[in-house]
Amino acid sequence: MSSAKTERLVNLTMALLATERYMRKSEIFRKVAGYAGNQETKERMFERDKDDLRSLGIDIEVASHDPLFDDEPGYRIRPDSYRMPINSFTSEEIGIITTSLGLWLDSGFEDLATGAARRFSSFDELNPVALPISFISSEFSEEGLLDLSRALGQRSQVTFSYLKPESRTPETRRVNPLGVSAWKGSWYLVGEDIDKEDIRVFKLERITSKIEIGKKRDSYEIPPDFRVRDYLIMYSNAGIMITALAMKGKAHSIRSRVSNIETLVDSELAVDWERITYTCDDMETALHEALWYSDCLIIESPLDLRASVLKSLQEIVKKYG
Amino acid sequence: MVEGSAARALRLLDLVPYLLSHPGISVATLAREFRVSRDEILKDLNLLFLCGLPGYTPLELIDISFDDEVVVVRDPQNLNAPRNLTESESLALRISLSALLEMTPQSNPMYSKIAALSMKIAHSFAPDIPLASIEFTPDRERNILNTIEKAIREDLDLKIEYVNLSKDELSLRVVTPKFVTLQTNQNSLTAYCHEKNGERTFALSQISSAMLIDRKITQAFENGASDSENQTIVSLRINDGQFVKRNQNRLSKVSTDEYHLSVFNEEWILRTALSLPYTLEVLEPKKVCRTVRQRALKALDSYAAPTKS
Repeated sequence: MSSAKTERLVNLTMALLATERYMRKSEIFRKVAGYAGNQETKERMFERDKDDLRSLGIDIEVASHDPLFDDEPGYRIRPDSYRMPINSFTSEEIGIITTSLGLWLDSGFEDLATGAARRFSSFDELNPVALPISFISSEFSEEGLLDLSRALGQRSQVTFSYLKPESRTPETRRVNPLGVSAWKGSWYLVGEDIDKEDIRVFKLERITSKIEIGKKRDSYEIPPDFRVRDYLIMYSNAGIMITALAMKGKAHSIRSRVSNIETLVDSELAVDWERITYTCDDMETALHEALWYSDCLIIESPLDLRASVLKSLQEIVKKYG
Repeated sequence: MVEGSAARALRLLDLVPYLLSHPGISVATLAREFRVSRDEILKDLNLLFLCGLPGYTPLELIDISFDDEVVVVRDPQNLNAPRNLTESESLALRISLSALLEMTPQSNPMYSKIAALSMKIAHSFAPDIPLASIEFTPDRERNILNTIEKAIREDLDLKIEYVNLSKDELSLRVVTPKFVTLQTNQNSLTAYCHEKNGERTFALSQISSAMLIDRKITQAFENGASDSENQTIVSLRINDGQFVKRNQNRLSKVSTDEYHLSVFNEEWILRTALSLPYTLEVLEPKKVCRTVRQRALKALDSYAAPTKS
């Protein structure tokens, strides 16, 4: 019984993938192997098969067979949505992809990530890239993350019980997920809280129930300019933004915080210097760093930081004069 | 079971393009790759014989042969390319790429490639989810600490990328870890450095990456070599409790606010004096005082007009 259903699902997928025009149900029942019984049985079988394939992520398009008449709908699977655009990736890129998917080992995403990596390996021999990274697998496993990713992927509403930090009783929340973020081992969901009519942040470890995913897909849109970090206090508290001229290949300890590097217009100066933008936790640390690197860093802004650096350097000249 | 049948159908759909790109793969390897038993994979292959395109004549069926444990697909029909990523798989990939990017040191040549690929993937998979909908900030220091502890536990060495603040250098070191000191202000690793042939202390916050490697035994490590002969004594006036606390092992008090400090690296004391203009003053040696002043003057000149180095 189970083999017959598997066989029918494979045949249905292949038939819908092969057809250039939308296939009517009657045509499917006539041509695709495995549909037997009376009309009602076949209809029920097909509806279940269609739902199964969709739940597995196979996109079945529905359209009227003849756009001019209110016709029986037809079905097809577009080859470009079914097939992985694998030829657009280089061997090295496939290596990076499989390395990154490997981070999910021992997490709730393991099966999913392994399946994806295996399909990438249909293109090439797997050559994962060697990177000097260290990570803790627990940073990648969080209860509920898989469900939230699924909901985010299909833009479906989620419902869950949530225990607020200073509360003893969980509340039911209905949320349209807009983004997810990991911050040093903890995962957060940023989403539109439907009842509060506002964008809210939820720490995943405070979700106390199973996450229910709404059946309706594409029930909302995510604005293209949405940035998850705009709603997370950790990022807004990331400190002050500093612009400075830095000698190329110098000031190593701040390089990991650099968000932008700009080539200087003055070509002579651009040989050795570049303009960098980086963040620092607070003004005191920023001043300390600017003085430590005073041989290779010239603060441009904030202006009060620049003034403090100049004042400090003058103090040193006076002190050691 | 409906779920079982559907999941199995997906495996069958994936088996065909996989076999096409791995001609001659053994049944055992195939079972391992697809994480099912040998019996299960044989049942799958037998079922695939029955699948194909409408018409279902031998010309329209998937054609697979397996002899002597070796599997070859002769005609995949229209299953000749791997299935696209589902929305969940796309997001899993995008999250893990974001994590990989954050964990890769910017100095690594792969960094820019991962950044470019992340953009490309965001356009190709789940494009309705903006790039900035996913953020990953790893607990870098905890990750490094975890790797060090593993190295100590399993008698392994570490290849670390270390930011030397005094020299403003990024260096690659092979070290044999000895122990980790956890303090409020600074966590550090004490290890035998194979580059310097001596014991060194590394601030965890300055280790940008750490990779486990096989142990490299040296006689010097067994003997516990040190480089105490390179130290200089610097006389200081300090009004900074934090500095005193951080360097208490190297400081000896002379009077209320005067100390002698053992310094192994002149560059370190020069930068320290420059960065603490109001709370620390070098009194001796005079050569250090003169250099600190010269550096401050040079920095002021640069602020007036940066020049070529």
